[in-house]
Amino acid sequence: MNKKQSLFSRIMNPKYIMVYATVIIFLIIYAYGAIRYGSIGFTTLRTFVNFFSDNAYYGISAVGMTMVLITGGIDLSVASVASLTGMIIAYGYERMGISPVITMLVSILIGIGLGTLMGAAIHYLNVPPFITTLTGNFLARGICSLISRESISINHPLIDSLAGFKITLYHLVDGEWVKIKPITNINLTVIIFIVMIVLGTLLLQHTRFGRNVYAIGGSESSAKLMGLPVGKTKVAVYAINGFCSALAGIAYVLVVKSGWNMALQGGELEVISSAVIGGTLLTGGVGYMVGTMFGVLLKSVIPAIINFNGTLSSWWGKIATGALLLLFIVIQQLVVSYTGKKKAG
Amino acid sequence: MKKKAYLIFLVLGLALLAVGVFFFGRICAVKDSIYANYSLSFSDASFEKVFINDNDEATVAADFDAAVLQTAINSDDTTVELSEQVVEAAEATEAAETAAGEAAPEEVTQEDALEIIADSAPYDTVIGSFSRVQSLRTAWKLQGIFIGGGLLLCLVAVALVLRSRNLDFAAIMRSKITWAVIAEILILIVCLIIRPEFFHISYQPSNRMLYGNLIDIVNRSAEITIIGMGMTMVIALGGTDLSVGALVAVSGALALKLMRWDPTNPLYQTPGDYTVYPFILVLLVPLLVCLLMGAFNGVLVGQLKLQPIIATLILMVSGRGIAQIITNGKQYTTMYSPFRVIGQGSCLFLPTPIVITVVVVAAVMLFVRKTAFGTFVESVGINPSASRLSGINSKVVILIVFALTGFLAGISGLIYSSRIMSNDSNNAGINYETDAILSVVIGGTSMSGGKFSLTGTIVGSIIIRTIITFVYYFGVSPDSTMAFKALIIAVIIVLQSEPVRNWMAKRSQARAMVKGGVAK
Repeated sequence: MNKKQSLFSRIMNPKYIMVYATVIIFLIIYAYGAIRYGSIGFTTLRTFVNFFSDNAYYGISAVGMTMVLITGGIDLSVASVASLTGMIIAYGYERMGISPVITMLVSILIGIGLGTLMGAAIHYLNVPPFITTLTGNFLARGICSLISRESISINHPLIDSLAGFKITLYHLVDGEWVKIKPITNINLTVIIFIVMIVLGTLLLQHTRFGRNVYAIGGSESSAKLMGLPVGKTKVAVYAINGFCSALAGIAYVLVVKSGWNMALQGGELEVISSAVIGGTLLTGGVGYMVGTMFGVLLKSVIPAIINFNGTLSSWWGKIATGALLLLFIVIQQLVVSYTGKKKAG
Repeated sequence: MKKKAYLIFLVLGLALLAVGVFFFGRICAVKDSIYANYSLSFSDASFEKVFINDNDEATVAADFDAAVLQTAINSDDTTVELSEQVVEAAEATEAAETAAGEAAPEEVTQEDALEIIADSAPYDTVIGSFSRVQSLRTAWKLQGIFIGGGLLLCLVAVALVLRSRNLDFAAIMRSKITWAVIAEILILIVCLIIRPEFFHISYQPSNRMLYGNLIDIVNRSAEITIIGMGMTMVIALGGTDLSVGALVAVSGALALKLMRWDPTNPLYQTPGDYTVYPFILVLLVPLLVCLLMGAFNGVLVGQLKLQPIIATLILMVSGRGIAQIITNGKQYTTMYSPFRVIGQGSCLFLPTPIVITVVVVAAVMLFVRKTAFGTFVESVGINPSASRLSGINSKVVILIVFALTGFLAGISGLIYSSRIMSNDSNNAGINYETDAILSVVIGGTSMSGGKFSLTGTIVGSIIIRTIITFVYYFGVSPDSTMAFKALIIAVIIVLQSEPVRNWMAKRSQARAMVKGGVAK
């Protein structure tokens, strides 16, 4: 059935309309930046790659968050878990001499464990996700502060080499490979971000697990009646999200090379709003990884424009983000009600 | 006989409280004499550190001197409020210096005062003997035991009254608020066993106010309780309001700007006991702006049908930016005394925030429960379309609830900024939204909307504050408080969760049936 549909009608499927809206808004803002600040380097490939690397850790976490939101849940603990990861790596090496490889594995296990625990509380004890994960947020942040209340910088060759790892982009000029100017590097965090987006898309769109996630988000009781493993899937989604948060923490460590108990404060809302800007509905059942990726990119474009402008103060950035969020969700709402009417008509 | 059990508890509890009040008098007398001898009003926290935590006389003396000195240094005025002793001593020194032929300074400067305080060893002059400290300490501890014990017995009596009135014990066990109250009682019992001094209450003559941890818990929970009244109804509608913390910052920024902002008049460039605009405007403008911002949330949620979390996220993200723009990134401070009363003053011997909270809670409860509005909110929360069909204008209900929440956040912002006498756009009201939501949920209102309990929210916000005060009291660093808060809240939430409550209710029902069978 699917194969008989033309490529065009498959692409124009109304269920992707939110993703297109995100992409279009991204393009509009990008075009605005290109016209205003094109002469001072807004259109270079490096600026574009920086959109990915600026918020790569939020992006990695947003992959897990998208899945959680699709099930109709929410996870407020991601930023604290990421901060805890950084703290474990920093404290483990600098104060106790444990190799970062071990602490990374341990913190990933802690992320998965905490996620599983919260998922179990949400499903089996019927506690609202908002409250469960808020408690998880306090717990992770509190443990972080118990470990150390000051920022610990990490000086370890492995972290340095991972942070320094980059792929320099070349392009073909007159049959010769030369470095793109200005020199454009893709570092490890960007690679992890893109790999996670791809893996997330595969998991959601092409596996039974992914279909279960959408089914639960659409209607949990129907999913249960259909005999789908609701409990296991929900717990697994929170566990995956825990994994993503720990990975985001590692990516953050690669950027800042330190652990701090107050790192990434309020980051959970950045992650959630990126996913929502990307077209994921908080009510569940709708959302795509590609949309989330563009949501994260949108979050980097606005500060970039403010930076390029140079005269706007940083608090205008907050207001601009708020205004953009408003603009975006209003458009989303119009799109939803328009398609809804079309269907009804 | 059995029905009268609560009377025994009540009488015993009240008796213990009365004995506590006797010790209250003793403590106040000792404290009064200290304050009278040395009229520097140093803070009760350092007072407590000196008289409760230090072990031997040498440390008590050293810490007491250090605390007095620290208070003098912290004091805002250029000339410290000094006791007559110190001033006389200073004048005597000056006179001696003048006699020696040096140029006499015109008045006692702060540096002089500090030197004299450091030299005069306040502990020896004021307290004198360690036995006085010890007797104060004993009185303090005994008062804690009696007041704490009396309070707990009274709570048990209330629980028994509830039980005897409502015969369905299972229903009580199933109610979430029961578990919230039980959790609060358990925390207090732990306090009573480990550190009875926790419950001490004394009278601070310098600002005509009762002082003690119990008072402090209620006082400090004021902001969250006030916001919680609105948040309860927002949650009853099935939403959440994340913007309240940012609105607290906006309200403080506006109030401080109205008191301080006048670039033309050089008089108003330094903080002082004045206000540029009339005080009534200082109070009304922030409240009105917060009301409008709340209404903005309400329009987004009600008219545009946006998801509340995202709709209020807009103001949460941009609100602090707006607060920065209002004050142009500045942090104003003020010393305007009527404004200080809001957060630090006393009213009926209690801290003003408690009185404000009582008034606000009473007003909201009257509005919600004596009009049909509460029912409207519940019906919109349970089923918006059904309530629309039955003639309720859900958009207006949503608008009013969000606007009210914004208004209440504005009141909280005034209290907060009056506590610090300054505006702090980055830290004012931080995490208030999560604390308010937690209090509502601990208080038994379901996140999925529908029925709500304002009383429950008050209990919830007091529990959260109790946890924080309790953890601070045992000397845990403020940052790590979160871990303990999380653990205790996790326990409460597990106890409150549906499966656990149903299980407990079934068990108690079964036990009641077994007992009934034996009696027959």
